[in-house]
Amino acid sequence: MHSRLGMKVGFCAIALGVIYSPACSSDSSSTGSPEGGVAPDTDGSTGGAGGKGAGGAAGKGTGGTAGTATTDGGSCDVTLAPSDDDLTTIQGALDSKVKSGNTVCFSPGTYKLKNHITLAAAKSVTFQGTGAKRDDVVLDFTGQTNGDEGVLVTTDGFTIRNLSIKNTQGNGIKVQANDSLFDNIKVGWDNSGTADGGPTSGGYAIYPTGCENTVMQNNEVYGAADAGIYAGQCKHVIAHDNDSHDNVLGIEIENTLDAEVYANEVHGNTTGFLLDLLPDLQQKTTQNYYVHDNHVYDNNRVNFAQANTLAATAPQGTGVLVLASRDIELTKNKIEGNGGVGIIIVSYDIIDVLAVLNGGTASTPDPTTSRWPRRVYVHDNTFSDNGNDPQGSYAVFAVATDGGKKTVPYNVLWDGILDPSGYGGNDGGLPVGDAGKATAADAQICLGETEQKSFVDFHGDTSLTDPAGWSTDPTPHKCTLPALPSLTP
Amino acid sequence: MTLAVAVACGPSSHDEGRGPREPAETGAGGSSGAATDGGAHATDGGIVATDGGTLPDLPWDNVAFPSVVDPDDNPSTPEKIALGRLLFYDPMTSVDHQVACATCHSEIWGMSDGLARSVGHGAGLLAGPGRNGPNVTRRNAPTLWNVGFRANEFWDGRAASLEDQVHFPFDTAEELDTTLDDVTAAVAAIPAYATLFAEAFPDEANPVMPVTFARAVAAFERSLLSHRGLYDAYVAGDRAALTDDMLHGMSLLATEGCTNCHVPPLFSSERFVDRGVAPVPGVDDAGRFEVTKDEADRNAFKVPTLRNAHDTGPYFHTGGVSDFDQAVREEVAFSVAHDGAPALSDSDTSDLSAFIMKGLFDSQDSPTRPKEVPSGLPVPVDGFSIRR
Repeated sequence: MHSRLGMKVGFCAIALGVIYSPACSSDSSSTGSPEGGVAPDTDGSTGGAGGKGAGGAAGKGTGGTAGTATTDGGSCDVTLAPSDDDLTTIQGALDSKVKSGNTVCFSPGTYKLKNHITLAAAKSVTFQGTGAKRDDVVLDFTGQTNGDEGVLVTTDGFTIRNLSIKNTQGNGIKVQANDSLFDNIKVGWDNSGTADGGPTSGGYAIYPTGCENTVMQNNEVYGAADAGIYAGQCKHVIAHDNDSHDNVLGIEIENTLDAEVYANEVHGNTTGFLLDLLPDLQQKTTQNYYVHDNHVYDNNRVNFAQANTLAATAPQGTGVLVLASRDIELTKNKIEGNGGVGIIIVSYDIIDVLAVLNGGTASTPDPTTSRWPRRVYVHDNTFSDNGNDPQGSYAVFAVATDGGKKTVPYNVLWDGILDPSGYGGNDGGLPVGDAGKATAADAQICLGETEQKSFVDFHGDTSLTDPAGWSTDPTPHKCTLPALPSLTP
Repeated sequence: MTLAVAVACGPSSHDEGRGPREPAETGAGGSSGAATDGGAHATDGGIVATDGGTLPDLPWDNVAFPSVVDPDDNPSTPEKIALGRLLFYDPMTSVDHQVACATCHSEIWGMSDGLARSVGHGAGLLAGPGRNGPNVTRRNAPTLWNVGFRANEFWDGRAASLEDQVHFPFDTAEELDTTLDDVTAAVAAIPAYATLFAEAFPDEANPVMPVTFARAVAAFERSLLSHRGLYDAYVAGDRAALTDDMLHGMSLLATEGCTNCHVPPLFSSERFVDRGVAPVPGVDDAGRFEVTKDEADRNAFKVPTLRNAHDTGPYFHTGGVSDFDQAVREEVAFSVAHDGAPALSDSDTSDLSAFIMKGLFDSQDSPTRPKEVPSGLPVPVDGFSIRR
C-alpha cells in the first residue's frame, strides 16, 4: 500500500488545525526589567549573557542579527542551579519569582525533568544558559511523563539562549506568542528513530506557532520525528544559521506570512525543507517565503515519523518539498546528494490522488484554503548528485544509467495540477469567467535557466504513472517573479 | 463533608511528576493584599507591587481567585482524577468506539474542539477543525476550563452538576449514542479499569458503577484550572505583565459593562442572557427556555468564561464567529444598542481583545493526552496534537 510519494492510506482524513488569532499582536513592546529586581536569587549570579528585553530583538523589521549579542553585560534576575528536584526548582521559580522582563539564568549542569516547564504569567522573559557553550546546560526530559512539550511558553517577548533541551516526550520547546528569539540552543532526541528512541522522539524540536516576529538562529536541532525547525501560522519569521539534521523534516514553514530562511545547514533528514499550506487552519494563506543560500544535502534518512501524521508522508531523499503554498522564492541554495530529487512542487490534490490510488478516499476539501502552488520562483540554485538513490515513490521517475544504476534525471518535479478556478481571477490569474481554462503557465512556477534544463511536469492528476504524459517543456516556466525582500536589515 | 481544593496547591494526577507549587504568589488574585470586600472598586492604597510601589487600581474589586469546592459526595483525590483522565480520553464511551470526551473537549482547543458545532460518532478518530461527519450537534462545545466553578452545566444549564452532566452525551444520538450503564458494564470487564476504580473508590464494595464513572470524570474536569495568566501576575504585583494596550483593554472591559456578566476573576457568571446571537439556520434552539419553560429565558444562554478565549473559538453557542475581534465587536455592538454602552473605536476593540486573548490566557495545566488507554482502543487523535 505504499504509494508514490510515500503517502499512506488514511492521510486524507488527517485533520489539521490550530486557532490562534492572527490579530493578537498589538503589544510587541518590551518592557525591560523592573527596577530594583524582584526578590532575585542572589546565590551564584553568574553575570551571564544577559538578554534584557531580548524579545525586542525579534521585533518588527529588525531581524535576527541583533539577537546574537549574547554578552551585553546583562545580569540574572533569577539564577537556577541543578538540584535534587529540578522541576520544583525551575517551575517554582517561574511561578513565584520570575516577573516580566526578568532574565532567568540556568547555571551549568543537567536538569532532570519528568514534566514540562511552563511560563504563562510573565512576559519578556529570557532563559539564559550561563555555561561556556550550550551543551553545558541541559534540560533533560528523558522519561518525561507529563506535557506535550518540554518547555511551553505562551507570553510575548520570550528569549532562550545558550542551552540544550533533549529527549522530551513530545515537542521540544513550544512558544505560542509573539516576539520570540531562539538563539544558540540545541534541541533534539538521542537515539531517535531507533528501536530505543523511535516511539519517543517527539514532534517538533523548535516550535513557534501562532506567532509574529520570531527569530531562530544559530541553533542545532536533531532527531525530531516531525520538523526540527518549524514555524506555523506565524507572521514575519526568520530562520538562519541553524543546523538541522537527522529529523524527518529539516525545516518546515507552514501557513505563514513573510518568512526568510537562509544560511542553514539542512542535512540527513528525510526531507530537507517542507514549505506548505495546509487546509483547515486559521491562517488560510502563505505569502513570501524567501528561502536562499541554504545548504541542503544528503536528506536520505528513512522516515521514522509517527504513523498517520503528515510527517509520515515526507518522501525520503527530498531536498525541498513545496506543498500547495504560494509566493515562494528558492534561490542560491546548494542542493546536493538528496537521493530522490532536489526540489518537488506539489498540490494538495496529489494527496487525494494518492489516497484514492491506495484504496482510500479523498479528503473533505476546505474551500477557504487553496490547494495549488502558485508563484513559485526557483532560480540560481546549484544541484549535484541528487536523484541517485530513488526510494519509494521516486522510483517511478528513475531511469537506468549506462551502468544499470537507477537515477532520477530531474532536479525539479512539479505535479502540474492546476487550480480549476483559474487561480481565482486575481494576482494575474484568469478572469473568473475563465475558470477551468488555466494552463501550466498560469501557475507561475517560474524556473531559472539551470532549473529549466532539469525539470518535469508529471501531471499528477492524469499521468502520475505514465511517463508518456509528462512534459519537460520549460516554455510555460520561462518567467520571472519579483524578488522577495529580505527581512533581515 | 465539604472538601475545598486549594487552587494553587493541590497536586492533581495530570500533574504527575510535578512538584508541589509554591503558594499561589502568582496565581491567587488577592494574595498581595488589596481590598477584597464587596462594593466599590478597591481604592484604598491599591495593590502592593513586588517592587514596593503600588499598581494602578483594578477597574473592579480585587477578588481572589476562588477555590474549587467539591460536592460532599465526591471529594477529589489524585486517584479519581487519574482515573477520570483515562475515561475522558477513552473512546470506548461511544457507539463506534472512536469518540471520547476529549474529541470535543481537547486540550489542544482550549478544552473545546475548534469546531463551530461538535461532530459526534461516525466521523472517525480525528478531532479538531476538519472533523466532518453526519452527526453534528446543535451547539458549540463549551470549554471545560474552570468548569468546576459552574453552578450548572451546558449552555442551557440543564445539568445540575458535573457529575450529572456526564450522563448526557451518552444519551445523545449525535454524540456518543450509548448509555452510561452499558459503557460502565464494558469498563468493568477490563481488569486495568477495575483496579483503577478500586483505588479511586476504596470504600465501595462494587467500585465500577455508573455513579463512580461519573464522579471520576467530574473530578478530572474539576481539576482543569486556568488562573495563572498575565492578568493574575499583574494582580499579584508584576506591574509589567500587562502592556498599556492590555491595561486599556482591561478598563474597557469594565466601562463597556462586560464585567456585569463576565465577572472577574473567573470572567464568567451563572447568568443566562440573550445577546442576539444569530441562530444557526435550521437549528431549533430556545436555550435556557428549554429547561425552565419560562418565556423570559427564551434564547438565553449561559455566559461563558473569557479565560482562555485565546484557544476556545469559534465563539458563541452557535460557534458562528471564528475571529475573536469580530466576536468582541458583535458583543460591544449589542451592548451599545441595548445597554447604553459607549461605542468603541477599532483601536479600543483591539485593546479589549488583547487583554482577553493575552491577559487571560493560561493553558499551563492542560491535561496530557495519554498514549494509550485501558480499553486498548486507539486514543482519539487531535489534528494538532499529531502535528497536523
